[in-house]
Amino acid sequence: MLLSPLLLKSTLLAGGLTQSMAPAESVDITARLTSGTGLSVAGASGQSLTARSPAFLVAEAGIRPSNLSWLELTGGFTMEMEGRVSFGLLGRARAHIPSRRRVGGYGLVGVPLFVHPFSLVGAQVGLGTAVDVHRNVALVAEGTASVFFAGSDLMKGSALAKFDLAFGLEIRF
Amino acid sequence: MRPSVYIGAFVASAALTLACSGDGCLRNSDCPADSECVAGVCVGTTSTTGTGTTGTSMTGTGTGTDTGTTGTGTGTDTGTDTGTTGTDTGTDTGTDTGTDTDTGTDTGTTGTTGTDTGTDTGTDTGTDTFDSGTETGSGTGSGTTSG
Repeated sequence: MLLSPLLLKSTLLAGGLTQSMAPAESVDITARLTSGTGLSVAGASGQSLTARSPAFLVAEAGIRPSNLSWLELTGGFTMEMEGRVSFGLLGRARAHIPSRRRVGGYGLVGVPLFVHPFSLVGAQVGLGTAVDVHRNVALVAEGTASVFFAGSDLMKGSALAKFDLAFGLEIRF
Repeated sequence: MRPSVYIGAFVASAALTLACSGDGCLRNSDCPADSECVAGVCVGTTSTTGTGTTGTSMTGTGTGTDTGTTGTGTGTDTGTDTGTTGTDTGTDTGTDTGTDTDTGTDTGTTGTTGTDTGTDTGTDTGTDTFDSGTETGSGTGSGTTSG
């Protein structure tokens, strides 16, 4: 794999500015690119309106501390590519189920925040799975449920729910 | 997990999302830039302005009821009586104090002092201020009444 030479085992000095602080901790750095779509639901006048969610792209970078290998913290960008193209920020925390097999699962919580050309503020939870296809590469599938409760893109007096499914690639450095 | 599971999940997701499209707008970004999503429908947000022309005046015929009360005239008749003087059949009991411009000839007999019983055939052009007889002549008035 071309990325194999790029394998990095980053070392982070957690503290370390003085001799009294804890010894260095290592972290795994991950990058992930996924794309997907799903179902959007909004309430209006006592009825539920549904539509397909605009196709989206998510690019994330994350860290997994070696002493908390089940935890992954990521930050990234998201972009909706259909309709009015929009851009946003996305912060997530994933809790991985320890596994020695090629297939692993995880749960996640996140905060999506669209900033241009409109605003949306929400929260999301999800489940995902990753299948190792290489020592440092995995295919991922992720289902998320998001609720957007504030922002200029919402109908007045309404919230927006999204149930999306995304597929992509994860690279571990 | 076997690849067939992923493929199945992808197909199911695609079928689900395609089946749920076309239900109106859910977000303002589903609408054109000058519209917003209200109750699932895109509604324009741009106010419209325009210039109108003045309309033509209306004409027509109407009927109405005059509810006013009839007034009472108190004006003065200033017209000229052009009628012909009739015959005064009343009895003149007044005393003629006017100037006698009688130019006729008195052919009667001179009686006692004060009373002339003869027939005066002349024309009296003096002014009679005590005529209490009844005037039966007719005339035409053309005066104006203001009330």
